[in-house]
Amino acid sequence: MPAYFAKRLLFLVPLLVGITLVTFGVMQLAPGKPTDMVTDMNVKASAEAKERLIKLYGLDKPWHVQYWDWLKRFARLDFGRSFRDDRPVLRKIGERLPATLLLNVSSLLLIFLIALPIGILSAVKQDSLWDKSLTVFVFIGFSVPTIWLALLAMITFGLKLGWLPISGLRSLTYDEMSLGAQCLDLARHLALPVLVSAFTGLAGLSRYVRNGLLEVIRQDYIRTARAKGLPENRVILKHALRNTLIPVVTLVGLLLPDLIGGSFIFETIFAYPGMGRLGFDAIMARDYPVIMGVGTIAALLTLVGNFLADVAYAYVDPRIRYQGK
Amino acid sequence: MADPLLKIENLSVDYRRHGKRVHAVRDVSLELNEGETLGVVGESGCGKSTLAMAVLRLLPDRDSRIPGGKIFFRSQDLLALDAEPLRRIRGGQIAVIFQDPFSALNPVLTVGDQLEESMEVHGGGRDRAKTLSLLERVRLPDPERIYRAYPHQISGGQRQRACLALAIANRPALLIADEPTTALDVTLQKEILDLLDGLRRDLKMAILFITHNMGLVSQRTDRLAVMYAGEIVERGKTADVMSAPLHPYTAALLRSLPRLHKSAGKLPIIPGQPPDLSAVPGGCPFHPRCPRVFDPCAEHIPALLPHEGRSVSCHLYHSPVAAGR
Ligand SMILES: Nc1ncnc2c1ncn2[C@@H]1O[C@H](COP(=O)(O)OP(=O)(O)OP(=O)(O)O)[C@@H](O)[C@H]1O
Ligand SMILES: [Mg+2]
Repeated sequence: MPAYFAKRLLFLVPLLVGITLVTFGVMQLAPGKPTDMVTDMNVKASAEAKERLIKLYGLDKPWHVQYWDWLKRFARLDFGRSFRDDRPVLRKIGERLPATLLLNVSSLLLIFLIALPIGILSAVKQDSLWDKSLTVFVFIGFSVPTIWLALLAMITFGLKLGWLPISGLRSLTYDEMSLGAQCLDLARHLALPVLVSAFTGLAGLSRYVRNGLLEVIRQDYIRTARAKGLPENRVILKHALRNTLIPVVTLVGLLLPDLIGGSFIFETIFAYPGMGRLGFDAIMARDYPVIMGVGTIAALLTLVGNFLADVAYAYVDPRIRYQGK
Repeated sequence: MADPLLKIENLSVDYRRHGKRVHAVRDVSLELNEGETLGVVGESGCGKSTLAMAVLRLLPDRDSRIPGGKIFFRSQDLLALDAEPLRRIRGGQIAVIFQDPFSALNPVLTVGDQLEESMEVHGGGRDRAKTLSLLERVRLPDPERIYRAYPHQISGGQRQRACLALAIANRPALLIADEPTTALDVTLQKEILDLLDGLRRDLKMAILFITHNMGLVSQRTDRLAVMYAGEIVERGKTADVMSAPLHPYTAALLRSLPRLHKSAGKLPIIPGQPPDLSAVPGGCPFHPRCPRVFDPCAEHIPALLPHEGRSVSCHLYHSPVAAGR
């Protein structure tokens, strides 16, 4: 088993390199140049200044040479500096990543917290009014456009009712607050983005749990569990749910890229200081090193998430854990 | 005589399948005394398992229905029982062992856990030593290893022994054995049956032994009930039925015995097919296949009536007029 995972881990390397190559290519194909922002917006900048910048960034070299240079630096974990403010890309990402992880992990937790009971209830009370109403509820979340829902929530809870802040992660006075007040401030800022993203993401997991549970409940070993006199809630929560959740572990791994990738637009709407917005702004400014940095880190997290899901899967399923023993 | 341990009165069970009603058990009455072994035999699909599962109310409640009948266990009406008292009887006073040891145990829980759990919910607590001695009692080699093993780590025969251990964990008064050896090869079959015999004597259990193989019940049961198309067609002391079968179906089953031993599994053992239980032929359900069919058979339904110390439903012994039809 460890050998298998070591092999899987090794495979991640070419995969990651491939992803960076594609990202780099797409970035180069997109119209516009990094120097546009600096020069076109600034009438005083001369043509020579532009030339100097191009030389400085190595933009005059063929793109494969540029990529090779980037890759060599990447191998030393050097992501370079931002074209815009000359700060190290890694530091810029380091500032933003925690906020993104905070948002995504919170909404993932919330999704689990809500989707699991919904799925269980729907399965246990299959085809009842409960099941049907919950199905409608999660599918509304699934079908409404996230942007529209986000704006609606901002208008309702932020502007009309004035209950929650609609953008950012901290209040201006955050630094002067006590620890408790700081936590509350973070929670209030997180509320809208987390709620919106959790609501729109409920359907997958809850339907998965419902259908998986219905499938498992038909199995012989569930009949055995009932036949030996277990209370029904134990039959469901221990015997049936465990078997249902094994594949769900993988589902989480597959949700992770969704949550990271989806955050580009989402974070921008909420003016949320995360990786997504960093990436979005970098794309707008053709800030190549930052685009590459964000893309690479997001890809890395996705691959690692998938990998961890596989490890977890093997761990929770004894049929795989004890293979060949 | 005292009340029987189990008394089934005019029980019928229907399934709903593709909008059709399948009459899997039709008007069946049976009695079983303390410590007695009753064999229920019949071809595949005649409703034996359905009858057995109905006793512990383990039928799928969404697509099965019990339109009529009563089941008394020690004078309690099982069909009228609430969830909690029913749960206490399941695995407590009445235990069951299923046909397929490969699917009967939960794949993600250890054998030891599944055993202990059964004693725990019947007030025995979790007692490792007791569980190990239980494993020894069903002659499992190396109980320590089996205790820690997951089902897929032990062989089919070992799993069936573990299921047997599960069944006797709370010293039930009645064991329902639904083709407990059909999935195993012949040498294992005999071992498990001998083990079952020994346990029955030690624990003074009554056994409802279900099989399609008459050869298995001849030596090991006190009484026999022969089922055809959801009905009991003959019922009496095993020795009587085996030596002089009354019903032509029983006779045919017995004649096909030596052949059955060699051919594996569920080949039709009598010319023709058992009827589709959603459209049972009028008159005697066996008449299309019966070698001794005569006038009244296609017209009149025979009733199960006493004859020479047992019961049989056949016009050869009771003319339709005498039977009051
Ligand atoms: N869940 C179900 N839904 C619909 N029909 C069913 C269901 N379970 C069983 N049946 C039908 O009911 C009839 C009796 O089935 P049952 O399993 O009781 O027979 P059996 O005598 O135990 O057969 P076997 O020897 O194959 O175990 C069969 O015709 C079968 O197709
Ligand atoms: Mg059966």
